[in-house]
Amino acid sequence: MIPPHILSLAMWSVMTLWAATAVGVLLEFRRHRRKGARAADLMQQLTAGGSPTSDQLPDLTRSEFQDLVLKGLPHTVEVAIAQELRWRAGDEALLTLATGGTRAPLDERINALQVMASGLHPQRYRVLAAALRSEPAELAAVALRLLRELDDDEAARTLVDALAEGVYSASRVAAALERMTAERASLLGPLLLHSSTTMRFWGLRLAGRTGASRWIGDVRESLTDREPIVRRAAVEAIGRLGSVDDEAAVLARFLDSSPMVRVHAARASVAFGNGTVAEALVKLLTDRQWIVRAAARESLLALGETATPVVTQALWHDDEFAANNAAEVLFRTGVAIQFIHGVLDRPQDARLCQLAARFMTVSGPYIVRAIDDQLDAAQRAALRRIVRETLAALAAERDR
Amino acid sequence: VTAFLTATLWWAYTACLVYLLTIAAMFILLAVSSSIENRLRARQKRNEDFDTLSHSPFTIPVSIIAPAYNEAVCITAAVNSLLAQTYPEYEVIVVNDGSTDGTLDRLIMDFELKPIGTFFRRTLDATPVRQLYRSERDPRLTVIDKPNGGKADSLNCGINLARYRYICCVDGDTVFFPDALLSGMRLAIQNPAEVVGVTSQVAISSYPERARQPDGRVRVDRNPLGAFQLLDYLRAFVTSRQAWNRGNYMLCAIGAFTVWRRDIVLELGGFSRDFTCEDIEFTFRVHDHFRKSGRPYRILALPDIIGVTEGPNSIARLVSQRARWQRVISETVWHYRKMFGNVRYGSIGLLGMPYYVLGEILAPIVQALSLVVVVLGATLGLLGWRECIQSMVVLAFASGALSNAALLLQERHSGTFQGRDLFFLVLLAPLDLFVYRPILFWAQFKGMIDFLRGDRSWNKFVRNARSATAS
Repeated sequence: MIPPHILSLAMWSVMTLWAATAVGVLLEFRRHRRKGARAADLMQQLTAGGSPTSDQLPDLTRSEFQDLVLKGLPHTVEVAIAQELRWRAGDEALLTLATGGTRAPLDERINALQVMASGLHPQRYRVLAAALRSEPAELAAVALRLLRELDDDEAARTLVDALAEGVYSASRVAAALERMTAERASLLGPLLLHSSTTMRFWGLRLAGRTGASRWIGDVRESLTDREPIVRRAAVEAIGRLGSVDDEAAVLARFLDSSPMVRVHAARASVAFGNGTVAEALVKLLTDRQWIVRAAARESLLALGETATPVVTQALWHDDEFAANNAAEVLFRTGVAIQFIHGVLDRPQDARLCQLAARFMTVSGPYIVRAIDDQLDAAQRAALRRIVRETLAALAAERDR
Repeated sequence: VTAFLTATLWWAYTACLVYLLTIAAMFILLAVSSSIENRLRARQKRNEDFDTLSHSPFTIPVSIIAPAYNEAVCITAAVNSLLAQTYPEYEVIVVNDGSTDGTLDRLIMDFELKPIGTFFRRTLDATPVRQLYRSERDPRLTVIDKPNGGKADSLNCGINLARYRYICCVDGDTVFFPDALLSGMRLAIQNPAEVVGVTSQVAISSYPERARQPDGRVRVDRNPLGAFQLLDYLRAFVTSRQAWNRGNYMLCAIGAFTVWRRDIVLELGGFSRDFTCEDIEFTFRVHDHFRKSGRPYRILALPDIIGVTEGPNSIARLVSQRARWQRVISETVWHYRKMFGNVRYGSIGLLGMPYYVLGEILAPIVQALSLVVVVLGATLGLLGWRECIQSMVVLAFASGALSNAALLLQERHSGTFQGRDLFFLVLLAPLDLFVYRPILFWAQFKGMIDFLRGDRSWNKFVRNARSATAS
């Protein structure tokens, strides 16, 4: 078995290890609390009155500065402090640190990047562009955030170039560009004509989101791109940028081979809101993909009264999905309950009776129950009777 | 006979000692590896642009699917927490899996649900839907009512109705923090081509809806059973799964919160109903699929605590839950035994599977053997009582040190607990061996027996009682 002295040694060793880790836990808690308290003190001190003076920040480190920025330091204070830190460290030293020239730890490089960007260092764009292209990914993430926060023409250009080169994550770069307020619509042209599908996709999405109507010609051409995701982005952009002239092109996408393109075409068509669009959307209610039918239904809902006549006709559609979706649209727009009350008030109106009977037949149990909830017992019984009699009359007529 | 018994005991003692040393070495290596990973994740989180992510229309939308079976006491808090996410675009699909405790009525009342008629394609095989509801209070909430079919069946049913490219599978008894989805999705958004799954840590409490303090820290149950479970979760996530990330052999994405790329779930035919639990099996299946096809992929576990889940607050309930877990692990490891030691599976075969076999499957067997060796050894005079006690002290403090390491890494990552709670946990940690491990040993042993008997039942534990005001 184990010799007693080894067992004894093991026992004292693990007890010491336990005690050391326990002290470590409590010290770590204390460090966290102190750091939080100091950050709160600094924030209060620095934001108390206008621009901070250098004697207010004698021992402020770059790491603490970054923490304060992340906690929401006011912009003017941020610039003033960063310039003070820049002056203390020296521009060359900061540049060397940020570019990793001194084999500095990653956290130091990140803090230096923050000071350069916030302190408006003349080399900031070049260094951030390089960081965006470098490993590890955390450095690129920081560069992206800093460029987004700089939010000026040069930062936008740097990000569009990065997007075109496929640097870092395309969706993240596009999201940063979308969030900026600086002029970037004029920079999107090369993305729309890019050889990469991903770049064309993001270019088009950004074009739509930034209102880049100067590129409308390229967006229209992209509607027939060979790649479905590009067509999907193009039709979405057309919905935001296009004019009445684009209606036919959008409706043509209702027949696209890709369901996602059809979904986005249905959503985009709402922008042209008229009877023709409503008719086309009703046809889309019979699509073989449920996501397309759902998109058509939601678009018909968004069209509101404009769509009511064609949606009402769709109750008699041969396709049960189309008829049921039409019933749901009429129910959710409040049209159904209006004509149900109409038929209860005027049971002699044959057209209204047929409409109510058809609606109740194709609605399915869920909508019927929801309609019932809005009627009292007598109204429910009257409605059932009218529906029953109308259906019987129609059946008799058919038999004749 | 005595000579034979002595020789057998000596061999058994040596085997247990070798096992123990191997496990200790494995946990030390895992803890070191975890600390590197933990540092990386903390830095990533600190520098993440959450502001852009939470406001961008380009942030990939997510369908959250929450199966619920007899969760009436906590479902409202769970769904409210899901609807309060700071994520820009998502939907919540709650699947009422034939509850018999009024879960559906509670949902109908609290979220003003109205029946809807939506036709959808049954891409994955699942029990037919009885009724769909949409909330009038929040149109992002859809509730599916269906007969009981199990959690995997409910998830498949939810996926059939999900609209978005990513699905987030959650538990109906977990209360999520507002940034849970954003935190979980950030790495998937960064690299959607490779990151196919992300899981994140949950804390444990008897009453999840009351666990988060106003300052964002998590309150620790003073009930030792709850505190031991919390330490256990921390160790599993902070000192094990973080290390698994580094070698891309993260073999267990938890059922309480995992984001999956939907195309992968569909490609693999959805969650399997042939296993007691779906989470670990599906993670194994994804690894198996990608390792065979040679496509690059990542399944990540994040150390961020994104919510609080309900833990059993009685020994019987804990045994029932952990026996099920042991059974699920055994079922899955047995099913994928071809991976064990198989170089074709890389780190899965050479590190992940050996971890499961050594640390999970063999654990109850070796523990039982150790017990027999110690009792017989002491009775026959081969082991002195002093030696036994010293050995127990070594094990207790080694286990305590490992728990402390998990607490330390968690605090370094993000200050999660109050000082007095940390003090309580640190003092409690060495007692784990004497109070908590025997319960787990019994549960694991029971789980192994159940596995050998082919038991597949869920054995859901009854929810902890709440006062009327608390729920």
